[in-house]
Formats: sequence, structure tokens, C-alpha cells
Amino acid sequence: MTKSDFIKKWLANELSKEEMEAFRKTDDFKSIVRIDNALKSFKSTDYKLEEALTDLTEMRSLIGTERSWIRHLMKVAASVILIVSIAYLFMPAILDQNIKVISKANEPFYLPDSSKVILNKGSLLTYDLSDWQNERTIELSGEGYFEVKKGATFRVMTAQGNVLVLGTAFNVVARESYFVVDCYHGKVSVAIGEKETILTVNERIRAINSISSIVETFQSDDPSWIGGESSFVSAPISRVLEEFERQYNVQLDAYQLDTNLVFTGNFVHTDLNLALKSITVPLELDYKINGSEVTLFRESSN
Amino acid sequence: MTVEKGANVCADKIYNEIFRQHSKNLYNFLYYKFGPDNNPNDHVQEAFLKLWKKCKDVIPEKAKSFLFTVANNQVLNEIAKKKTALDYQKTPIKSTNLETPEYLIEEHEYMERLKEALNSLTEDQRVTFMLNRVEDKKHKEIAEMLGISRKTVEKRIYTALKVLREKLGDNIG
Repeated sequence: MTKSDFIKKWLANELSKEEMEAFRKTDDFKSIVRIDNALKSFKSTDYKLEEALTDLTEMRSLIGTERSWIRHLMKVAASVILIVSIAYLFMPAILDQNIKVISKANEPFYLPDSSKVILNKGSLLTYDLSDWQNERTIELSGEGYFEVKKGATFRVMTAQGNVLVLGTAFNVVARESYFVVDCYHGKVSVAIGEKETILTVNERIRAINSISSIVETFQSDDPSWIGGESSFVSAPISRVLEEFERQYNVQLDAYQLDTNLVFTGNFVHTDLNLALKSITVPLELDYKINGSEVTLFRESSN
Repeated sequence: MTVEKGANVCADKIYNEIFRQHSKNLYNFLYYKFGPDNNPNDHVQEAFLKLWKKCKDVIPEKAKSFLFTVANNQVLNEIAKKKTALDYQKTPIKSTNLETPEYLIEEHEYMERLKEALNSLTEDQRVTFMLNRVEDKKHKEIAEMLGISRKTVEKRIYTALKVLREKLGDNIG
């Protein structure tokens, strides 16, 4: 018997007692047993079958399917479908299953799979209900925080880039010139143009004008705007003012400002004066309110 | 109306039985083939949800191959498919004080080389090999699971071992 025959038989558990005795003495045996023992450390992490089954049962109850007893109702259903289809013919608008959700300030709402979304001010989210079971895809412009239930791939499409996940929590900002994704839980994949980046917990990707993206880490359990504050770290002042205008629905006049200013700090969403102070004091500015117009200017120039 | 004869995957009892029977195997299949970073747990759940949606069209005997095919394709279709990286438990198995630092370093290097070697196997070789050597699946079981012949299973396991030994620098006569 050749060496390789020994090994093949050993792998198949087919060596006789005598053959085994002989094989034990070889160097082959020593090296193979060492590999075999070392392999145990590569064992897959424990699969929690009962937990997985509970999860699955829950998900199934959400999507539902046709049970055999439903066949009894088929005839009734058929006639209902006929009537509804005729109705559709005359009301083509109903066929459009696109659902639009315009931001309701900081109020959570739930997608059909019970994934949670909170939108910031001035944000718009749409998704196609008819295809939701197969394609969990939503379109977003603005800013939103997502807690995605496990299941099919979940996509957030924006004009600046796309985010793709399986079950996790993250925040997306897709405003005109910049795009920021913060990952709070699990992992997300972010595609900006051709480039794809994987974010893990407490990682953030920032891109301005869909180019030159950078990845950095941050420390926070959820986005500050959900708690009624906007916070910025080394953000261009234009971005801060834009966000301010959105939150308070005011016009900011800041023509005297150096556009290269960088701002780090917070402002609240509930008190205009306090919020203005949060921005103007650290930048040594002053402000004047005139109806829905606010002018920012240098203190010295006054 | 009579109750339909022939088992239907739509029945909770049968569906759950299929889950108990195959979900762990499917998990291990994805784990060893694509590595833990490609979310084997999520793909198992997703495949079973697809089975649920299609339960009227899939007879129980075909459920297993349906699940394996669907889950396999899911991972392959994932845009962000990560390169496999099996890794070992870093906790020491033995804790005797007799181990010299040299031994520990040598052992660590060995594990690193083995890890590299495992990840250099083809996906099919690796999954077949690991199911046999680590999960103690018999050749016949693996053949059924993967829908291949026993001969192919044997060949893959032998070749995988040979590749590992070469990469580890063993003398092979």
C-alpha cells in the first residue's frame, strides 16, 4: 500500500487494526494528526437553532403565505379580485404603490417589515410597497436614522450613494452636496460611485460632492438630532447654517461670514435664541432676528 | 372539499421539521464555504423565508437542495461579498506550564500558516474538508448535502489535506 493509500484509507476510517498500527509509526501520521487537532480551533461558532427558529417564525408571520385552508376562500377571493381589478382599471392612480413619507419631525415610523425609521426635518423617503417583500429598497433624500430588522438585503438609495445592509442600525445624511453614513450597530456597505466601503460599529463615512470620501470613528449610541439637537464635528459652516435653516424654517443671512469657517458644537431644535447663541458665541458673531430672517454678523463690525 | 394528500412545506409542522433538520447544516455549509464575515446566520434565515414564500411549489424532498442553492446564490449575488477568512479560537487549548515560549511561538506560527492554507483552498474543497474533519460528517452525508458523488467528496478531502500539508511545509513522499 502506498503512502497516499494509507492516508486515503485513514481519511475514510477504513484502516484495519494492523494497518493502523503501521500507519501510526509514520511521519505522515504525526503531521496529519497535528493538522487534524489544530483544525478543531477553526470550528464554526455555535449555531443557535431554537433562537433562529423563533426569529424565523416571527418573520414568517409578518410576510404570510397562502395556506391550504385558504383554498376554501379562493372562489370568494377570485370574485373580489375581479371587482378590484376592474376598479383599478378606472383608477390607475391606485396602481402606483409608491409610498412617500415626508419627514414628520423626529417621529418614528415603521416600514412593512417593522424596520424603524426616524427622519430629520426636510427629508423625503419613498418605497415601493408592491415589491417590498422581494426588495427592501427605499429612496432617501435628506437625513434618516434606520433600525433594520433582519431579513433580505435592505437598500437605501440616495442621489449621492447607496447603503446596503442585512440588519443593523445606521444614519444616512444625503443632502445636496454632502453624504454621511454613520453605523451604530452591525455592518453596512456604502457605495459611492464605483467605490464601496464597509462600515462597522461607530464608523462614519463622509463624502462631499460624491468624491473624496473619508472614514473615521465616532462615539455615540444614536444620532443627536433624534434627541432634538444637531451636532457637528469640524463641519463647514455652510452645512451648519443649512441645517439650521431647515430646523427652524428661517432664512439665514450670513454674507459677511468667511465660508472657510469650521464649526464644532451643537444647537437645540426647540429654542431659536439659544440655538443661535450656540453657533454665534464660539465663532464670535452676533445676530439679529427680523421675522423669519436672521442676520449673522461680526461683533466688531457693529 | 378534502384535505390535499401529499405533504406540503406550507404546513407549520413540516416546515419546522425541515428547519430543524437542515438549518444547522446549511449554516455550517455557508460558514466554511464563505467564512463567518459573509453572515451565514442571515443567509440561512433568508433562504428559509424564500422557502416559505415558495412553499406551495417545493415538495419536502426538494426542500434541502432548494435551500442550499438559494443560500449559495444569495452569497454569490451579494455585492459586498467578502473574501473568506476562517479564523481559529485564540484561547489556548492546553494550559500547562511546561510549554516553553519557543513552543508557544512555534505553535502560533503553525496556526497562522494553517489559517492561510485553509483560506487558500477552493470554496468547494474547504467546505467539504471542514464538514468532514471538524463537523465529523461522513462522506455519504456530505455527498447528499452537496449533491455530489462520494468519490468527489473523497477526492476533495484528500486534495485539501495535500494542499494544507504542502503549505505547511510537510514532507510529502
